[in-house]
Amino acid sequence: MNLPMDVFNHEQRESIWKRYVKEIPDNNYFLTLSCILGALYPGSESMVPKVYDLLGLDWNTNPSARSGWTCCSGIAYHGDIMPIEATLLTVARLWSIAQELGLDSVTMSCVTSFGIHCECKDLYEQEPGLKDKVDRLLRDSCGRKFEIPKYINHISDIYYHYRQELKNNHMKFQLLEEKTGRPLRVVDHVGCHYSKLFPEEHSLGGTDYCEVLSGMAQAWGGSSIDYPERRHCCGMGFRQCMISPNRGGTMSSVLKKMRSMAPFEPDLIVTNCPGCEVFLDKEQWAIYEVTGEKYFIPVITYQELAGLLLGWDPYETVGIQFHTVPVEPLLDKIGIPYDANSPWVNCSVPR
Amino acid sequence: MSQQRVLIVGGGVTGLRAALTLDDFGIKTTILEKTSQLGGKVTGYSKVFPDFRDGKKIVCDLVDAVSNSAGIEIITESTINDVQKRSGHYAMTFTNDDVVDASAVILACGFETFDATKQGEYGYGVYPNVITSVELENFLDHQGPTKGKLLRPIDGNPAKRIAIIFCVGSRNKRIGNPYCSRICCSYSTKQAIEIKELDTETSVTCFYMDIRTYGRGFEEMYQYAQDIGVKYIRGRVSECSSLPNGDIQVRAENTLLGRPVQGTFDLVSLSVGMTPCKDAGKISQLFEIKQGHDGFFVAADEDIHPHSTTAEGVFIAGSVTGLKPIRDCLLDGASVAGEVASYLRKLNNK
Repeated sequence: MNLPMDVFNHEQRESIWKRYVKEIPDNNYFLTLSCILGALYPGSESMVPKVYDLLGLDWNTNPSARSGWTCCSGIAYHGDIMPIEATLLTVARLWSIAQELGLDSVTMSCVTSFGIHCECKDLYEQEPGLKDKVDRLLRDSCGRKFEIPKYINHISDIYYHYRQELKNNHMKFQLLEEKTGRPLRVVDHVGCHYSKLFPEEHSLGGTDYCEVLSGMAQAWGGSSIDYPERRHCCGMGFRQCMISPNRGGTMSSVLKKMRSMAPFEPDLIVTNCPGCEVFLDKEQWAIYEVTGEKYFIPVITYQELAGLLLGWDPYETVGIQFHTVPVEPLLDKIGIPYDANSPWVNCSVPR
Repeated sequence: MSQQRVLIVGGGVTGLRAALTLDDFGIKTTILEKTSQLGGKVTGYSKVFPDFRDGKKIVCDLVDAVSNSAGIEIITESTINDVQKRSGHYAMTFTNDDVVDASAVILACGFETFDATKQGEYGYGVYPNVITSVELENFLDHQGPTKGKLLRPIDGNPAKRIAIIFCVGSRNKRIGNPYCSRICCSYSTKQAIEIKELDTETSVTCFYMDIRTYGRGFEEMYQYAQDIGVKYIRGRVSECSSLPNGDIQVRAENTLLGRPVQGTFDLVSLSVGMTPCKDAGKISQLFEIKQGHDGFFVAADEDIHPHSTTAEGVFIAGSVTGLKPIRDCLLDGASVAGEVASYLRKLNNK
């Protein structure tokens, strides 16, 4: 098959996405965690502090119960069981905690959380008097004060910001096929709540040619695939994944994407959204069971991708054993060593 | 009156028509054209709607007439650098250092086509088989680079499945162009007919919001297009994307059927709208005339004196006041000349 790399004008694409470049601060990050990522792909989140430390960055977080640190309430908000006022208050409390630590750049590992923080910031900018109202509510409820943070960045923005430094100074592997030197073909799947809510202000590269993941993939040696359903949602949708009769919608969305990307023969899919990661990974198995169509394209988060290329242990640190679609074939392509007999931390599983 | 001179900024069909009419009145004119040749955008149209006349011939006839007139001076590859208003006339310096003293100025500097890369969802510039209507016009030109053949830019193979997307850069608040460009429905329909008449086996699908073929003979042209098999789907296209072989997949909503539709095409043409000419801001400052919210020039009285501006002796005509078909531009050229002649007569009688 002649792969269609020449159907795409990369220079022109670059001139388009560069219209949407946002400011990413160099340092002083407040880290907030995802509700589901740590439970489903724990290595993704546990590697973020390691990368921040590796880069020598100042960062902090305060997820202790005493601090009042909670999730952003995005799941409840998008699931229509919590009004926006409650979400505004929850996020204001998180900002207050960050500011207590002297940090004015809030970074989060969840794309929906990122969307929630951006939406709150936008509401304050659009709605006169809202800040005063939430100020009062926050003071009455927990005695805190808050300011609107200067920066809201997804952690994938930070990884993108430092992509060259990671590659040049720390990575042991590149996205190249070990045997041939061929750049691996990467499908980037950017979460909708990253690129579609506020594309002009908060999405690196806008909606159409979002750069945050493809930029990382290309910087680390791979080539980016553009395919027809690239911008299609993974189908997670809170009403679909939470209500079982609607789950077919999720599977059909993933199937649509898989059928669309398959002719381009991708080597891997990279995501920056916990929900997308879960469904693109797990639905491939469900699709195989239901339709017999076998794709099994490894789906990994950008944190896992960075961790693997940094040479960190695929099982103990990166946690690839939590994936439904095996990641080992990708490791074989790149030439990352692993011990297939000990995929579980501190636990050898006979094969 | 014979001592008076009128500067016409813009050598497109409006400016040429105005110069010829003023010449008939015995008024000397200077045409200032920023490019190297006269004729403006119409030089690129092999056929114009609704009667499929040869656009190049229209330009050719006008340019010949202008060139053969002793009272019309032509300056090309130059623009206005400076304007000094003195009693009853304007002293203007051009970028080529020429200086012209004029009793009146006609601004007929036309329009620009919308930069289709601003609607990134259509992939113009990124996917070779997505082109603009201006490029499609070149394809359809028998004297053009493909000698009138429709070819896929990516591989040079014949294009047999064509999609035309209307309203690209028009009626779109998100990109800051809320206005209708008025002529896109008609020129796109003209192009669809040309494609069909070139090869009846070629399928042409037009994605539109509304059809605004409002002029005399325009609606009949639209009906004829449907009669010969051009398909019209009412619905805005959400995105175009490339398949491995370079085919373009188009996704839209068919708002008449109330469901999403998807199709695969060899070639997608974006019917781009129009924006004010690039120099509009500079010119409005130089002559102290007003621009509307859309950037086009505003007349002192849109109904009674559509060519007069708030600056005495400065007149506007053609597409600088909003988009119009070629025949309306020609009409505008004759009309503004009448208004200028009337103004100069009053000036003489003072």
